[in-house]
Amino acid sequence: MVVISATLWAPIAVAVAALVAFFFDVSPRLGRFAPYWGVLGSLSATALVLHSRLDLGEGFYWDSSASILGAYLGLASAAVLLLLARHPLLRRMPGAFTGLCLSVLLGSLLLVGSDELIGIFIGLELQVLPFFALFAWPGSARRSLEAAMKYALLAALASALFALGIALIYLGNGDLALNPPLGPIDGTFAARLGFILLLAALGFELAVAPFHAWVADIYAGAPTPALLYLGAVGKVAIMGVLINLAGVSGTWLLPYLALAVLSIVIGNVLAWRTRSFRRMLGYSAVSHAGYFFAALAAGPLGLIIATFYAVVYGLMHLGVFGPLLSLPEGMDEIPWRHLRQQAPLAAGLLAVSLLSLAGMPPTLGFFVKLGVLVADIHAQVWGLAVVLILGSALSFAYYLPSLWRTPHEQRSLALWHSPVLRLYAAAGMLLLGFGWLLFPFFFGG
Amino acid sequence: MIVSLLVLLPWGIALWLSLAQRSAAALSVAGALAEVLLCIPLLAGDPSGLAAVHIPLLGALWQLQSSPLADLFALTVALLLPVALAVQWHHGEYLHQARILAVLQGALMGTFFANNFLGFYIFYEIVALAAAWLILRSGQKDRRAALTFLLYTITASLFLLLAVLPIYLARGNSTGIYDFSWMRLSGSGLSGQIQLLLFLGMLAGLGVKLPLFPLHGWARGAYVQSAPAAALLLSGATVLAGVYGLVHWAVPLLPQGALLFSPAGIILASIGTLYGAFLALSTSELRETVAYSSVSHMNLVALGIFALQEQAWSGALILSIAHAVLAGGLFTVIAILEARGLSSNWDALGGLFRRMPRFGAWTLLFFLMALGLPGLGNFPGEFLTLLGSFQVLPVWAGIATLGMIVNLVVFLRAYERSMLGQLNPRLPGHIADLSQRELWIFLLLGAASLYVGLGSQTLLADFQQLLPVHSHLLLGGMHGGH
Repeated sequence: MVVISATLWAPIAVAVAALVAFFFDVSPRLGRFAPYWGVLGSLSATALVLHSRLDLGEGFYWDSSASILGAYLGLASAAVLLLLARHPLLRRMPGAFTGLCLSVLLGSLLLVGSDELIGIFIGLELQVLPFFALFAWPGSARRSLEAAMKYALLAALASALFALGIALIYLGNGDLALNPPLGPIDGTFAARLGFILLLAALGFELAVAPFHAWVADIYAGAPTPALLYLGAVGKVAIMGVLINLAGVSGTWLLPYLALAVLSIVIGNVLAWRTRSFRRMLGYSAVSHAGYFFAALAAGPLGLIIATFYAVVYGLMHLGVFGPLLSLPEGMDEIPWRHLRQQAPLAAGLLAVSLLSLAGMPPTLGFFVKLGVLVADIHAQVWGLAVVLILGSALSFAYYLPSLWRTPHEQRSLALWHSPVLRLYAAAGMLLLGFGWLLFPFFFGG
Repeated sequence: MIVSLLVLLPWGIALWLSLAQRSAAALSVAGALAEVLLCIPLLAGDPSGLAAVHIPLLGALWQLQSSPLADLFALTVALLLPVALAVQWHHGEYLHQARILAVLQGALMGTFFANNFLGFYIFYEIVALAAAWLILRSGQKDRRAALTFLLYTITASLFLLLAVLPIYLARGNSTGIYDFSWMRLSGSGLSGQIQLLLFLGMLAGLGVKLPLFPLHGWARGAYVQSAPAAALLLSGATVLAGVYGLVHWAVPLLPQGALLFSPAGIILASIGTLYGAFLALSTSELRETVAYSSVSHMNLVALGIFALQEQAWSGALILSIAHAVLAGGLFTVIAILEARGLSSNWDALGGLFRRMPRFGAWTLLFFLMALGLPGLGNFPGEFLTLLGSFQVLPVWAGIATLGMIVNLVVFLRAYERSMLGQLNPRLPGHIADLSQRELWIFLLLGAASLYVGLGSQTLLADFQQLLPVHSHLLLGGMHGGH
């Protein structure tokens, strides 16, 4: 008899939900309910993660950062699917869309919770493959095909690097566990080389400079619903793996430091130079990956901060791309006047999220950045703290103009909006603006 | 309780103004007047304070506490807002600006009363954002000026944050209590060299608001491109946040650093005073003259603070309040010219006194105040500042005095060119003299100027309560001592 470890319940529930979701497409009337089935599956994942919180299973466990991220991933996936339930893109094959999204969620849960490199590799593939299809979803623009192609090529390269990294680590350690029984994971030369390859592969997925070349094209070309899911679930899970890796790699912080500085500088400068709103968001995601690495470079305190950074980054991404769902596909500027008139709450959420991305107090984005700064100064990496300061100061120079730039005037523009979007926008504004009031519940006990 | 209300009332009004449009103009004025009334119990010596919103590891974020200096600055800002509203009255953009001005006022009140550094920082950033928004949406609607202002202030204030974090961590490591409140941060006992470095960081963040000499690049755009009412509040009120930050946060938290930086600070501020005066001298645009002379005066304030000497401190604080009144007067003059469609360039003016005698007389009063005539607002502050700093670094105080002399030339010449002499033929045939509303603004500001100029004893008495606290913190390190 097969004994299933309690820690595996959440991924199994999501896997079953994903398989079932594909069958909703047998009839269009049934298909309408597919996104709600996805919401249910995601919420059950959150519940199961919280239930097995701090359980250490065989090769798969929910430590404190993994359970925070796992619970977040389920909730984010539920929020996205609920928001997308009536979206025009889901008119065709909603069951398949939901199934693919749940597969991404499954991969993400494996990524944040796995204690074995093989588990991480499977999670990575489960996450990457559905995005090929989601980016090229039928009904989206031609540019998105190009985006999907680019993503496929680069993700395949990343997977290859990851596999090579695993091989090298096995060569060095003779073990595939994140915590090998004989010393740290980066104890031998071959293992260190492999570890760098792992970082490079994950860096591709997270768009860390110098592996950021794909991100602006994808952000500009891919359909908004897929991007919403990519940032809110996919990237946060990658951040979760990086937190686990940084936790086991001992005191070797140099790679994190280098990637952080490169990403902050390159991401901010490119975002500042570009004229296009979506490309700006893509490059600014690079700089946020840099701030995240700046937290990882600060040792043990940094790991706690990095966990919160990952969650808040996901929330901010939800806050920016949720309102963008209203706009027609391929629109590269924000028609503020129309958005304010037709969906005032969504316009408010977009503005608050942009301020939060810039780190304007008192939004959540400010508090996590403050946390990163405290961690860096505590670890006495002064140079990194100064780079972070300068980078986020520069980021004001492109986030705020996007708030007041008036686009080419269009006489009339019908924007997509729904009651769920209104609810989502109100909740998002409260969370990003006043979410710091919840801190006592995380630190107090 | 009152202190929270002082912050929340303007914000509530701003929210109401953005939701409901009807009868909003009257409401904005009523709110501004209520704010003035709220300041009175504080000045009557009723201490008010509260601490709420406790966040672990950060302390109580909403920790507001009244103090003599904060009360006085709050009253100054509260009085400036009705003036700004009156200047802007009947203007097409009135409601829009009243909203931003209210947000700005609430945030400024917060910076004065906040006793938790993080709270102070949050209010300080909101001030920066509201001010940038004001520049963006008023007057010339110059995006470049707004962005320049924003980049200067945000970059600098991030350095302010960066400089306080080591103090926070050092205090937390030694006491085990991680908290951003003033009491927990002060007395860190860091070594002198580190304090100097951190003081430079804090100074960058706070000095940029004054603006201190090398950080003044934003001033011209902000003061010249925005609407006069906006410029009035920017140069009169938001600079007070910088002054208050230096006096309440930077110097007490890092006394050794302040003392080590003092000579360099005096030199920078003296150069700034002289440089600002020369910039004012080099332009024929009345509005630029006003902008640069404001920079020059605020550098004199910084000089008084860096001198770390009791008379100089009193002088600097009086001068910063007088400067608020002066900014009110001078920008009202500009606004009146603008409202009549007149250019503020001398080439288009000249002999205006013949057409607008009442306006000419009041303008003379404020120009005389700006050049430091005894009896008017600026004189006691300038005198005490220079007197105090002469005892510390006489040569550089002399250079600052030279700046004041240049200022005198600037304003006399500006008045002569614009108001006296031959009537400029290009002026329109009929120009209305002061209206009732404008007369009232001038009367109020004139009275305030006379009060600061003649009754500075009462202000000094207020500061006497403040200074001993600070000089004890400076470990008897103030120049001249007691």
